[in-house]
Amino acid sequence: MSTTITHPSVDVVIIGAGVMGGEIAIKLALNGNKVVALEKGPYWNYATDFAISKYDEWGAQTLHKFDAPVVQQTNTQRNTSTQFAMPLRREAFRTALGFGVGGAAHHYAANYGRFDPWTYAENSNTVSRYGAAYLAAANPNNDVQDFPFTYNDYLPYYKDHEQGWGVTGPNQNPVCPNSTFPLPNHPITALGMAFQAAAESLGINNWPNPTAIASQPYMNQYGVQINACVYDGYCSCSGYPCETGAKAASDARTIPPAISAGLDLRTNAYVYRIDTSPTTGLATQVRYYDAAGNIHLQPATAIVSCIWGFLNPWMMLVSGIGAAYNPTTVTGSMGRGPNEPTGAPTRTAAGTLPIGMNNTVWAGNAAMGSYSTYDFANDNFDHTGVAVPYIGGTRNTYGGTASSPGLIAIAGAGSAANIGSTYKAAQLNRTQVLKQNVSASGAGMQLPQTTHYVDLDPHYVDIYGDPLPRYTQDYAPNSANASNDSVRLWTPVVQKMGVTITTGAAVVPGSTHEVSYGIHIRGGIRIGSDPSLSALNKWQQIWSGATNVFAAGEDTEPVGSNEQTGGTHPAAVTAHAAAEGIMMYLKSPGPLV
Amino acid sequence: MADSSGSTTSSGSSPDRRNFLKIGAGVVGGLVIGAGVGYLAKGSSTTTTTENMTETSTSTENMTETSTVTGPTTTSTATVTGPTTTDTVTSTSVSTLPGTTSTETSTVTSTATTSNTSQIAAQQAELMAYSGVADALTTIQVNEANVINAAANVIIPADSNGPGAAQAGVIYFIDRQLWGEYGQNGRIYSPGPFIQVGTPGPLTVNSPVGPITYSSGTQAGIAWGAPQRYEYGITMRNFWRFGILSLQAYANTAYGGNFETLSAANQVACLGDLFNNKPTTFGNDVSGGAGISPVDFANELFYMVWCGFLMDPMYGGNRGMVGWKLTASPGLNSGNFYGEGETPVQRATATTPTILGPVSNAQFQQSLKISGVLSP
Ligand SMILES: Cc1cc2nc3c(=O)[nH]c(=O)nc-3n(C[C@H](O)[C@H](O)[C@H](O)COP(=O)(O)OP(=O)(O)OC[C@H]3O[C@@H](n4cnc5c(N)ncnc54)[C@H](O)[C@@H]3O)c2cc1C
Repeated sequence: MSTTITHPSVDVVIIGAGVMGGEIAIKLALNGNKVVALEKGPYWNYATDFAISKYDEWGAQTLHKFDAPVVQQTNTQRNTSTQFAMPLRREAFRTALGFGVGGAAHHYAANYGRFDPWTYAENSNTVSRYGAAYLAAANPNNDVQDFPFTYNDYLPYYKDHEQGWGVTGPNQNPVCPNSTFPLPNHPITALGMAFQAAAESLGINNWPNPTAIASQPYMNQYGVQINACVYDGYCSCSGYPCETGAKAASDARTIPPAISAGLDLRTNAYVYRIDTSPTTGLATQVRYYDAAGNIHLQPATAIVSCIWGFLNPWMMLVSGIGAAYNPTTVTGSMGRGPNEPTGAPTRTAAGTLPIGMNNTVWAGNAAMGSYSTYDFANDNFDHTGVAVPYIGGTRNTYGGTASSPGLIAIAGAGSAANIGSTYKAAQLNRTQVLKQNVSASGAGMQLPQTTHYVDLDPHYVDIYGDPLPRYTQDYAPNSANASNDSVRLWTPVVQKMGVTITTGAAVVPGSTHEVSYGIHIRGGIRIGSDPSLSALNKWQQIWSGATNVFAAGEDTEPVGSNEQTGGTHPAAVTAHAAAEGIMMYLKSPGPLV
Repeated sequence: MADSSGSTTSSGSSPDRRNFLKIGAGVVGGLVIGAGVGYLAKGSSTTTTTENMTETSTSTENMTETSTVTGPTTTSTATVTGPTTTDTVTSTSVSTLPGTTSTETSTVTSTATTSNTSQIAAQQAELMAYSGVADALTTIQVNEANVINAAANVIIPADSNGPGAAQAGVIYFIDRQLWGEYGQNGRIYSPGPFIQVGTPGPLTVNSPVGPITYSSGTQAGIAWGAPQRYEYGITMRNFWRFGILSLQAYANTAYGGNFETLSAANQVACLGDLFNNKPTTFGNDVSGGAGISPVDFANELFYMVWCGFLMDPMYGGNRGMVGWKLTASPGLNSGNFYGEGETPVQRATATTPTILGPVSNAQFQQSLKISGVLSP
């Protein structure tokens, strides 16, 4: 028999203690609000959980022992609404969601990026420069929407977040106007240098990539002392947390000072429902299970959902909050507009750089050492006259990140041709990659379409008996078309690096289908200016009814982006808008817009 | 105009992580971070932690042909009789997930001749000679071991590039995984319905609100689409069992003998047939008669063999770190384990590659004990 425990009411409940949960917790706690954060995973111990046991490729990267267990909850996925959606059953073959205080940032690559000013009004900027017909051709069933705020509106939040997170990077990067990153760059790898020199000689803008990994010891504005990176390379590859805390995660940046300021953090607390009042429509409390299966009721004045990966819209849908999206009538906004770029079809165009590279296994960190340009990304070049219309462009980075022997096992599977000595011979010194593979093509932007959405699966349930989130998405033609054209733009730079490029056939939109998800899960509970198109207003607040419910995360973003690495940080920035919105709501309850 | 701000590159020196462990682990953000109780057991979820290159295990090999394996979720009994075998594999999985209790019954009749156990003994001797470690199988049956070992050696043969799967002890990696969480679907979402990739439409599936028809069926499988899905209502342990027995049966039907006795060329051809989904009955009677897709089994086999070759020796394979020697992986050597004197930053930014001797997790832990970071 499980017991039901009712807790005293608080100002705010935060669901999920990842990047967003931490960002909001510190702001509210410092504001003097009474805040409870509920996190389904543990509070990891950096010494015993990470320092000693993370050097474990099988456990950490393959079995995802630090990540959200699929036996508890997973999602189903399909390409079109006429297909039966299949569950993602194995952690071994997906890039897993976060688990525990700190969330997915424990195993992210910590590439840092802002969205540039263009991205904030991607839809209207495209229409005004190229016309509505061009956009419709580039993205059939277009569902890209503008952000409700501009780059300049968000700028103070960026600066605050970058201070708190301890970001490294170059300053005055023109696609991120007005940036002053608090920490210097990490060392640049030989490949990064080669790209930098080539780009420079061709007059192409180039910068070291910003990262959310501390390059030096640092103290953030909350008084948190942050260690520098030790560059041991057991970093991301989708499974490795950082034992030094150099790689930014909320439990090494924002959560400890929030606790000092009074945050009540409860771990092993799996929230499964937001209850609403039948009379007012407002949320009254959340319900959660503890590790022993007891049910807890936590009433609050306001609730903010910070659970990434279809889970924010899922939470609203199981709780009956917001209008569920209907793809037939194209009405309703909850679950609308997801766009996951991982694995989008990419044309091959590559060669090898004739220098030895020593950086590809267990050295450096997941994000370091790269140079990049945005000249072929976003709207930084004229798209007029491209062979097939597309928006955005591509962004490659050159540097080399940590790799992993086990990836060989996955890479070779699926083909009878890989049985035996020939495949084995191809693995000789493989992890040392003596000649670095350099690509002259990139993945294009994946864009929201009205045919893509998150809803509740009618067949599969989680461990507690609730329906799984169901994800209906395929790659939009924009990503393939942009990738095909990217070869034209990148080839001169890569040739200048001394690389002979072999270019593969153009990829065909629709020939590669989304099978998995992982790195960036955007859309599904989007912010915007029009209540018929967005689930949340600019303060990340539910438009009507449960107006004391807010949400934050990449899934609130209404656009596609070239900043493959940067959906997280722009979302952390909009989370600051959510924190402000909540403070305003607590002072004066009601719709803020 | 690169980096026009003039911001500097951080200095090349960085602490060795062993030093870091001495000075600061556990103290992050000025607070001592406390451990919580995880939903699942945190940290290593492996079934074995022994990995000591010099340790000699005296345990005897499991030669018995009837085994009862009791794990947290599965009781399974496998009975194997005679030189001509009829294998009845009955297993009851009582899942801890609500509403997912299932009983699997499968009968796989194979005309295979059970091999002489001397073959596995020979493998043992070879392994012993190579790594100095004798070992025992916990889960894999002897007749299964012959097939797995032979298949593993076809996938990664010993050749001029070094030892193959047998010397690496790949079978022990697989055995321990099958014994533990992997074998019991501990990290696999297991509730049904089970519907394969590429099932054509219209497809009607029951739901609590009644049958729903999907005109387009399911998504087509692409590489790794299928294993990611694992659309089988059985444990991995039984997936392997049925797969091995079916491979053996197919080898007999198509190539006239047990897999391990086939010529090298026929072994390659036989495994290739699995990848190409050639066997028409395979893993029959599994999950309501649907069987196992041969390519799914081939992919799993390939994947686990390579993982056994490349994962840390603490998991039972990669003995003598032969996989890391092949791939030039340093394992846990971040640049100074054998006194090489290379900083991690030098490694990360070098244009001249150096290949570092590999270091296993056990060696690393040992060094922490010697340097006093961990208590012995
Ligand atoms: C392999 C990989 C690489 C990546 N690389 C980068 C990168 O280089 N740069 C970048 O910017 N981004 C990267 N990302 C994306 C980034 O990790 C995420 O965008 C970010 O972590 C999301 O933050 P969040 O706070 O929204 O969610 P999370 O960090 O996932 O936090 C959500 C928290 O909520 C908890 N939770 C979930 N459900 C419940 C519930 N029902 N009740 C209670 N708690 C719950 C979870 O346990 C988790 O701790 C990467 C992601 C992956 C997977």
